[in-house]
Amino acid sequence: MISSPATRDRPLTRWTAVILAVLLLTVFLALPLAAVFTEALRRGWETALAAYADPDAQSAIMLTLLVAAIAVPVNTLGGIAAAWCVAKYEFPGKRLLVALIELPFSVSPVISGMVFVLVFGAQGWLGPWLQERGVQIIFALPGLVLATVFVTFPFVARTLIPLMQEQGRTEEEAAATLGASGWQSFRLVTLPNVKWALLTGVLLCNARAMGEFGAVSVVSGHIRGETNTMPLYIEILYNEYQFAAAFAVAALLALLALVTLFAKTLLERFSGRRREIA
Amino acid sequence: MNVSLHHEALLRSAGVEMESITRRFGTAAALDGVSLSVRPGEFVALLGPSGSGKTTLLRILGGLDHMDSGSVTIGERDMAGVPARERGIGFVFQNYALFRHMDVFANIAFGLRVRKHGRPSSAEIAARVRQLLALVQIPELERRYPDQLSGGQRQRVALARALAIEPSLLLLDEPFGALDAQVRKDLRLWLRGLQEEMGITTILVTHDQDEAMEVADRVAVMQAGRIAQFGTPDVLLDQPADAFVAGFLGESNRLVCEVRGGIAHFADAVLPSLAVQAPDGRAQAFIRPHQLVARVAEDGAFIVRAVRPAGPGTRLVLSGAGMSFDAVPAAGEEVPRRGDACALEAMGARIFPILE
Repeated sequence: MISSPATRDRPLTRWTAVILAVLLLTVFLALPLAAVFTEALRRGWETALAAYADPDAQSAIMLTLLVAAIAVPVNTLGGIAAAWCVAKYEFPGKRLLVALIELPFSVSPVISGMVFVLVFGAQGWLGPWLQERGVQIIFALPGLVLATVFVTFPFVARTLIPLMQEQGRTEEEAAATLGASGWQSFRLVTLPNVKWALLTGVLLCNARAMGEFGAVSVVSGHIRGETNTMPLYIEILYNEYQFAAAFAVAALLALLALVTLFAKTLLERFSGRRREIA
Repeated sequence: MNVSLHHEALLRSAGVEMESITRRFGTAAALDGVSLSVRPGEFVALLGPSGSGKTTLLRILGGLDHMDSGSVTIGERDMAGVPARERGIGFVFQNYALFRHMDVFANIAFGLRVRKHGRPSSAEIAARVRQLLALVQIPELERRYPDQLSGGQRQRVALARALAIEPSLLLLDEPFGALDAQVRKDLRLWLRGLQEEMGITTILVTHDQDEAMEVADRVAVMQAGRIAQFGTPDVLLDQPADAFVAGFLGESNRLVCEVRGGIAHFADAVLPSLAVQAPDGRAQAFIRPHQLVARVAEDGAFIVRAVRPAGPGTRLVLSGAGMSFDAVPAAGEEVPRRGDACALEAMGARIFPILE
């Protein structure tokens, strides 16, 4: 890249900025990540593998994947729908809707979890009614999914809204004049125009869905082998001084996140990111 | 050029009837009882300043906006409740609205590929797209993406895409707005030729009077949500219906005068009085530059500010009496130079009474 003379900084300024950025990245991102993996392998592969072989660990892994597998598609659809409404239409209460979309980001996850306990818990508003019908939400899978969906809702919507707003509605209008139905217009015009932003949103949503701790912790009840997700299981192991096992599971969780990131980078490279107008 | 395209278009070309169309945004009327009748195969321009309602009218015809009252008939069909996708109207948008993730071929093929009934085979679609690419003279750009095209090329793709669905009516929203002057001129001549050849009914929205006058059979001048006048370009120029049309079309010097017994007396006697055919009373006078003659005069009240060659003659800009005037030098006399003092005389004017 050639920097123009008008925006060229003095070498001192430039290098200070670069060194500062690298230093921050190392201390706050690379070092902790490296620490997780070294700690996990400190006692050798066997110990780490043994930690995964534990039935409770396997249950936690499966539960985490299951929750993400439900929450991510739900939020992908919901996020697209919300972004579509906000970006393409004018309606009363639009500002309120935008504010609501951001609510899960502005509220502490613990509070989000407690809200669900308040509504669906045994002492909650709907608790007795649900209990009579034998439906268990809190301290069970539905509660975990609800809390995760709530906390991770903004990721897809938030990444799509600015892009869709910038792209406007004229391409959809053009599609309509050419005879496309609403669904064809969405599938052939709207969706391809935002696919990379959508992928980014989905991956971020997925990373958070697997890593969510606060809200899930409140609604889970920490029942080993039943309602423990990976983050919760890691905390329990850690509190029980089983450091090797804790770090082994933590390393796996981190690895899942790294794999999604890596997959995203690969996808972008192979499908010609050049076409993106973001 | 292509004979089959030509005949197809002639056969399906539709007339358009607009009856007292009204459209309000909040309390403001964007369209205030617009009625307009466009003949099959005609090229009509909607001309007006921004905010005059011309784009709103076009969008209503295309089914992209709704009207609060009135009716639109295209061909024999009443368009009430007919959605845009079922109208079969070609629409070229101001910024072309090409599908950015599709190449030129896919853009043009779009209207054929989304067809629910009677979708052509992919070989037929390909043949049709190639035909259209040849028609708009960009066969080599088939595999390019919109962001790899110049403005003029995008314009041609947008047109080919709109024509692909064999529309009975073509609507163009400021199609040359984003192009530079030379490309604009070339393209509009080309478009006019193409339209004539295909015989497709075309309505174009523009704020550029040269463009409207050059391409259209008839021009509808719009002002504040109404049609001020609808007619051929020469009728509009020679017989403007009202002061707005007279002032909007062509250049003119605008002066207030008092008409008494067939003589127009200009306010403050800025110019010598002039014989006119108009009823007595206060009036607005529009004097075209070629009707206003400047002579060098020692005691002239007007100072020449600019002199520029214009075609075979010369155009002058003068100032005086707190106004600016466009005029021409008197025939066969010395051409005034910048800074000269001049006298002005109107050789004719168009007079519109001011309604008190």
